[in-house]
Amino acid sequence: MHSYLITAAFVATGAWLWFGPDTAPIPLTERVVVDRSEVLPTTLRTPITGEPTILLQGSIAKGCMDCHVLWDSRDRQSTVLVQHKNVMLDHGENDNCMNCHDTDQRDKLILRGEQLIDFADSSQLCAQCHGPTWRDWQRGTHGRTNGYWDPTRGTQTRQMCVACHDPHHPAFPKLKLFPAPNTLRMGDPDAAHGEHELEGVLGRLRGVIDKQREEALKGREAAEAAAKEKLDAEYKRLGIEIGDKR
Amino acid sequence: MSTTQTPVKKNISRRSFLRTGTQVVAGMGAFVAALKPLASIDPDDFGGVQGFLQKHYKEMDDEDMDAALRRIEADVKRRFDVDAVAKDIKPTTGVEFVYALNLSRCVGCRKCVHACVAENNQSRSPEIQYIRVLEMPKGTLDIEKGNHHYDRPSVPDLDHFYMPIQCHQCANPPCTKVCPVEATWTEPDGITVVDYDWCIGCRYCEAACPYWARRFNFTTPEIPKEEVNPEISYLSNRPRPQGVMEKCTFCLHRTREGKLPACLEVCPVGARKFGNVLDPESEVAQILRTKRVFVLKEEVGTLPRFFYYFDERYPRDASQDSYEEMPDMPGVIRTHGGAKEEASK
Amino acid sequence: MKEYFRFLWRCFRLSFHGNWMYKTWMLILSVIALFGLNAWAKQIAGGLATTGMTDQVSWGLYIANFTFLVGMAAAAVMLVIPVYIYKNHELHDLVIFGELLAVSAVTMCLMFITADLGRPDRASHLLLRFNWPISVLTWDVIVLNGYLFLNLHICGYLIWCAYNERKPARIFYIPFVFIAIFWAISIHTVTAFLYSGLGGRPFWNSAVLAPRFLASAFAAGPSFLVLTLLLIGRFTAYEIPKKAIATLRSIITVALTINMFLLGCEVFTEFYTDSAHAASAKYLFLGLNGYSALVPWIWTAISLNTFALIVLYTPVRLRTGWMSTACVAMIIGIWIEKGMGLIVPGFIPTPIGEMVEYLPTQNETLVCLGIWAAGLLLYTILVRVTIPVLTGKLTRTRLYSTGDES
Repeated sequence: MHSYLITAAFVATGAWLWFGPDTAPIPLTERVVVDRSEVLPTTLRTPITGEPTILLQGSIAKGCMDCHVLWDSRDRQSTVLVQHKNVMLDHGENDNCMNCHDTDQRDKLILRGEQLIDFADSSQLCAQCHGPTWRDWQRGTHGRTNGYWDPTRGTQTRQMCVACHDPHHPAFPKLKLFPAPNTLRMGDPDAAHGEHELEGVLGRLRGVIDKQREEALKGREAAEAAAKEKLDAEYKRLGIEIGDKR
Repeated sequence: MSTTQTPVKKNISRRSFLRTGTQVVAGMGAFVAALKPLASIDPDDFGGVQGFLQKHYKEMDDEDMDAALRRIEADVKRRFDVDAVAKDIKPTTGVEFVYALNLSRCVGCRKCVHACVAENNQSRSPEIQYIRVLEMPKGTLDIEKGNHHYDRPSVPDLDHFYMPIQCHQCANPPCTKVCPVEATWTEPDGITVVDYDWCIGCRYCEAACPYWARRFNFTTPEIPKEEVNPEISYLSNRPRPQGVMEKCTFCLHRTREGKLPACLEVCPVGARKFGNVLDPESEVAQILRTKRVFVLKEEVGTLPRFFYYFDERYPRDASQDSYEEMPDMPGVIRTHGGAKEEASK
Repeated sequence: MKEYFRFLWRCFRLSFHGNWMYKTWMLILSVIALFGLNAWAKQIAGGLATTGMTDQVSWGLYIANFTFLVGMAAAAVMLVIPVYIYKNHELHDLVIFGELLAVSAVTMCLMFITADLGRPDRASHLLLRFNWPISVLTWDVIVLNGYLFLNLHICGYLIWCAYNERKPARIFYIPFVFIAIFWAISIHTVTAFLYSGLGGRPFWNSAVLAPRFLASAFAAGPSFLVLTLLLIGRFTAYEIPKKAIATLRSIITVALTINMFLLGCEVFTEFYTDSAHAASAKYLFLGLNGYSALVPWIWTAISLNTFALIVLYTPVRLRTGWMSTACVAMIIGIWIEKGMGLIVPGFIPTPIGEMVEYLPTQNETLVCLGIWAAGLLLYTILVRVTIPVLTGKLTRTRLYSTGDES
């Protein structure tokens, strides 16, 4: 009888639905964990704000003048360092250490007018040559501000130049990359293809640019190799074996 | 004329009554069984009775807001076992927020993305991130050419520049136009906000935004308890329920108190600038006056309050490639000479 | 008043009676509707993450079906024009079937919208704070609900009069019928404006969208009506005049021709200009950056519509078999065009260039099937009840007898 079929159908449906799952599947992606400590407002470098020191043989801290009163400084043209092996000046046109460091007072920096300043005031030194950047920095449009946008309600913190820029190699190092987005059901982004290639003139120019870049890199490598050779020759001449230390 | 007889059968027999009766009961039983998943819902997840009766933000008086904030704090306690402090911070007069981003500085590290996630209690699973950084090839400003999923050992790559995109808090926003219940609107200080307790989740605003800045909670957001930010505000970073929209609010719980947004504070290269454009001495006012700023999709007429600019002075070129990462010390970059510096903090 | 409730009760009882084919049909629809209801309950519990929608493609199958059904609802009133404007009284009764279809379609639309909402428990917010006139969605809420009540009134009144065996008073339905004609156009135009007003979505931001919506609706809706009328003529005692099918066929032919023409216009504008704004069109018709999931769909839709167009312009259109096939082809083709050919590509690529494709989940599909089943159930019941009243078999004075199972 038709009515029994209908009843049976509803009962079966009811049972299926009642004993079935209460949820539908949701494909949640694996959580990308970025700890809060990795996103704190720190700076790239910790600048020297007090007396500059060097760590010898592990942990003996010496001030600059502790050694530099014993040895005469070399001429102003030298850029090959016996100590401070880690420092190699790569500051563009500024290729002379003594443009910034005083020859006699090694724990001070020297401004163009022969005025000596502390390491903590190093930003004044940068300002001498980098006028437009200094002007922007004073306005707040260069470098990072932390704290408050409204100085009437709290402290604004500005960073000194060397908090971000290594004075011997001011160009920024490459930085660590944080994880890419991984949103719900986004599919496989690597599956895309046709990397949004540039068309037209710029696309053709890409080959030219790539070639120029390769050549620049080769030139760079050659210059580095030459500098290293010169350094090794100096050490040999001095007959010194100095370990890797600051 | 009226008769109470059934229109079809002249006589109701017991048999036919039972037959019809069982069909009806079976049908109704199946109906109830179909609705069984609703029993597993916790009404508190959906705001409970208090949430249902709550008024629109603009209609709440201090007492209503107070009650709402207490409910929100209790809800955060229930969901995450965290003691939160919920506030509702009103805008200051004479303030209009503007954001400027220096494309010559951005290296595409995505630190801002994750700082924002930590600050604003965004869902970790499924993942919601307000900021999306695009890796753009040099030579174009067409954001459709950008790569969202770039993954490199380190950034920046020298053939690209990087463009983070988040809500631009437009002055002529398409999203607020289309909302049928006015759950999203522009506040006097320029920020486009969402009342999470009013939104019905139709996602029309998400379709309308030309910058893909709005996000939807497709399910209940999941935040690990130790990562919950307990300083929350009604219109910005309080943990959201399922089924509502959310987006960047320029960290209004911080900025309305004079502080800087989280994304700006962590940027390692100082590419982000923020402030009150009505103050002529502010960073952003100076940038708008002195730098060559532009906005995305200007032709759509949204009048964004988020400006991009370049002020390239020392362009990155191939010579910068002398840096490599040390394999034995991850995260540390070797300068060409030997010193080890912490690459990113 | 008491008589009215008795009338409703009698209609309700009547809807449970029919031959075995009718009961089987109703049972299948009921079971599907129950599964759909269960799927929706799971969606309420788990959130819209149980569907295939994402932040990148934030509208999918629900809105696609909604858009298609708004068109159907609008077109259902198409019979009204020849009857009342061109005074073609033979088709008089058929107007009711069209309007009943409109009622079912609009109800389905409202169900799809409810299924798509993230917080349907907050639907009352629409009444408390209504962003009219700025939000086009508020216009849509008004016109859809207005259209529903308009058609309920017209059908209800005409059927009530037939039940009471008295001639309907013109003042109670003629003005409403004329309003319904304009209102039908407006519901689909407003729905088109939902999409075409968005500057951030250049694929939709086209003036041709509203005309295209209307053209495709007036092809698909009357097609559905043709199929319904053929079924009614075949399975019930009701006589369908040949003129009805012919009138509908003319409407469909014109509408489909315009639809294909407008498709050509869109294709030309997108591909000849070849600007960055054509990205979604490229994705849809040709595939983009290696993503091509929708390409087979759109070309199937175009093929089906072309096939239907050819049938309509050749003598075979006069044969029922060919006409029905063309109608089915058109309904499927236009459904694909409105859903996969319009809604989904509008989101791919995203406004900032990300490519994420969309695939509906099983739960989402069940909800859609459930709503379709519920709508068809409603339409079947309405037709099932209307025919005996119109043919005089069920009236105030006459009791319906079981011997006559139709």
